[in-house]
Amino acid sequence: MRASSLIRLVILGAVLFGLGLGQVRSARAHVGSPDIFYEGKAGPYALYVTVRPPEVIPGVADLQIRAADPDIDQLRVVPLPLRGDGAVFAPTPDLTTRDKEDPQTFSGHLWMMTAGSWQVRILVDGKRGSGELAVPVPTLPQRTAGMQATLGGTLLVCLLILVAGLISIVGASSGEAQLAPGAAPTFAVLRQKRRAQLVAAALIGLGLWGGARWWRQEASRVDQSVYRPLHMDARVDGGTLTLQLLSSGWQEQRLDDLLPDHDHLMHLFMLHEPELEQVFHLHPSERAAGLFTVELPAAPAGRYRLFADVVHATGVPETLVAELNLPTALPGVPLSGDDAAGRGPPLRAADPSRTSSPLSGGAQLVWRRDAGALTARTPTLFRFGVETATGQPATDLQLYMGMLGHAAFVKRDGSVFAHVHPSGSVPMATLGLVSGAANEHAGAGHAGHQAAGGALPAEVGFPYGFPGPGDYRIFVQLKRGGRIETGVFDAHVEK
Amino acid sequence: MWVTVLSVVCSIFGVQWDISWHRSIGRDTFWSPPHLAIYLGAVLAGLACGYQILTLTFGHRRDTAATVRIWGLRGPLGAFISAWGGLAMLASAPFDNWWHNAYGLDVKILSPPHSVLALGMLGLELGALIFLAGLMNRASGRAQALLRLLFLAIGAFVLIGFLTFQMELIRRSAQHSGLFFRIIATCAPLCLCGIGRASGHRFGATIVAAIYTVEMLLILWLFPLLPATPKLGPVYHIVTHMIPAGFPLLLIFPALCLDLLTPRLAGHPPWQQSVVLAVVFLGVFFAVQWPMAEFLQSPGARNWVFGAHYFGFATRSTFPEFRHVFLDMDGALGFHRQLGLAGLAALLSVRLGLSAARFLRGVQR
Repeated sequence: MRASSLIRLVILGAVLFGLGLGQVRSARAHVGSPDIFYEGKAGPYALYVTVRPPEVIPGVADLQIRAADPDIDQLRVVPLPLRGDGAVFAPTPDLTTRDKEDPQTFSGHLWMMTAGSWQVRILVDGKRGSGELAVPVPTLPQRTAGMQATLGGTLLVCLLILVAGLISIVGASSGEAQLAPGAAPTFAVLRQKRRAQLVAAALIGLGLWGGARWWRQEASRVDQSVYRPLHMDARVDGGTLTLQLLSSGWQEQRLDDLLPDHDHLMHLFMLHEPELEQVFHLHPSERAAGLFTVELPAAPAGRYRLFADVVHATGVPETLVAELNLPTALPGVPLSGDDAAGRGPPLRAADPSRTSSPLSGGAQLVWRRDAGALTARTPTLFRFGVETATGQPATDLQLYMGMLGHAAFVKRDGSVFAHVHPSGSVPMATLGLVSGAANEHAGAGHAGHQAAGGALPAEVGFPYGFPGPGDYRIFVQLKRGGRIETGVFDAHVEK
Repeated sequence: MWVTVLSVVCSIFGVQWDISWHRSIGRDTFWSPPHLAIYLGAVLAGLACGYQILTLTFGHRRDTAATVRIWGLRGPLGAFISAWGGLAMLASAPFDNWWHNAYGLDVKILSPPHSVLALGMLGLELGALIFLAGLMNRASGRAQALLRLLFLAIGAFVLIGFLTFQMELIRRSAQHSGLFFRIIATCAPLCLCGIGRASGHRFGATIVAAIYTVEMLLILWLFPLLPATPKLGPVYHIVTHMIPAGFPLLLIFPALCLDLLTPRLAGHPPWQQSVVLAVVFLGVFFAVQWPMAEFLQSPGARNWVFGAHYFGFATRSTFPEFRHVFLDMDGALGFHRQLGLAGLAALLSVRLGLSAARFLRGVQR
């Protein structure tokens, strides 16, 4: 067989490849704060759970679980969808690894295979028997990634070696390989070898072009699947704020499937920029699918950043973002129901070392923080105590929307916003969807979710971790003597 | 030689094991046993071929006459191709890993990094095939008979590799679509005619198809004996054992017809032979596989012999496989045009197979 035959063979192969093998056709809840923080009980065991969901789906979520007590023998974790057919059968649980330095801390990794609403079930065995806790985890693809220069360079070198090697192999196949052992190639054989190599190079080039095109198509398809929250347009007519939600085109996003969370379909935080000295926590009413309105309270003129929390029937929470400009101050309507307003010092007077914030009647909200610096991505329990004018623990706290308190963590530039409860960063509406596990949530240690009428403690804690370094403002809202009050704190977070 | 054959077995068996692993347990780590088997194949091939090439180039071996020269190195052509395949397989690993980090774990076979892996495995198999062809063409007697058998076995692995790469398009619920016949017409005649004829055995194509059939049957019958439970969700079915691939395609019937027909076509021009062999291949395969697919969808096939009742943990109750119904995969082209393209693919595949056979029989080094 000579080079001409080999060339024909290679061309035929390429055509065949095209015919047969070339079949290729082709924010989540909170803003900038994707990690889940949750405090709850698995049977008798109090746990502080941190889940870092994967940025790409399918991908691996990282778990860190801190037990309040040292009597846990083993802790297993298993992921499954929050609802639907896939929530019926659980895969085999993975055993977590106990930290050598802190035996009450466990870590693990779990595959999250589809985008949507998942849960991590935590199965505890210990001296006081066994227990189970389910933590909802939204799995929303956040990004696609480029290739690091080192890896790209390595793969490029591999590609060049493989291409050059393949061309050389084709040359050898059409030349020496067909000669009897020991025979020297003639000039004609060498010429045919060169021809075969030229054809091979052209076909390889064609293959690489096709491969690159395929890669681009796949990358584009994945780009399309990256999560995009609902759009929200805000406008004010008279004193009425109208919010129009619009689909972003991500998956099968719906506007008519929102679940009430603490009795409200939407929790709207409205922050006066750029000083963040004024915060409103309002609850617009739904007029039609995706259309919300609320009568604004008295508000100063200026620019506002709006963060609106909603929860879909799937359990997927979203925080929608918009901006609003009030050209003149609004006289507004009196606050009613669960709506609240709060004031703090302007950002230019922010003092991250300040640990108390004044409340009405001479009382104050005290941030009981550890002495050390705050660091990014560190699960922390932010504890706040209410003290009377005489420094005694307050006895007049009431539940505010069923919780001891609500907190909003906001980065100064607005790139991070998280609405957190004493049970953590999971919306209560999503927790209500957890199937199979009877969660006792809301922070057993600090009574975040107690029945009305019981004696409420004067301290509230919020499990949360800052996603990155920078300057943050913390708004803490609670209810005392029938009045909703807001404490304002500043935090500097280091790497 | 034996190490090269072992590397091919490792890789092909690793792929089948890996697919079953994904259906029964799920990919929990890159370092799963099937992945290790696949990449062990690449490492073995690289080491064996590297040893051959280095000792022939820099050692004092006298058997350098049956070698080719590439980049100043000497070795059998097959060793260079296998080494190329091993390198491509190894290069695909970081590419695949990056792909998962950048775009998420791909839960399908057809992806660019998997294609690089598949090309590498094809290189590994072709290298082994050409290496054996060189030895077989220069040998005689019992040695040649043994080499011929090994050659046919590797040929069957090439066929399995092709079919595995396309398994998403040739699954049971796709077997009444024109696209299915187009895929099979693309891959199978090339392997059956090329390797069968190159072996010089009267029933070469039949033996290749028989080895494929036996391997797939062994997988179908033995894998379910191994316990396994899913480690990934969502789990739609309780799985307690390894889930095998489906019942093998009935390629042995068209292969036997090709072998019986080949002597009668001797002396005719290759394109004429190709037309006859393509028509016979496609016609016979269509005649046996169509009713077989019908049977596999029926309750009579839901037993350990035919395995139509095995489902991976991720198979939803809405999937055609689970509902035992056929899927229309022909798209805008439609069934008849896809079947027409299958005929064209079969013709080119047979013709390519004949050229490949001629090339393989001419390999001396």
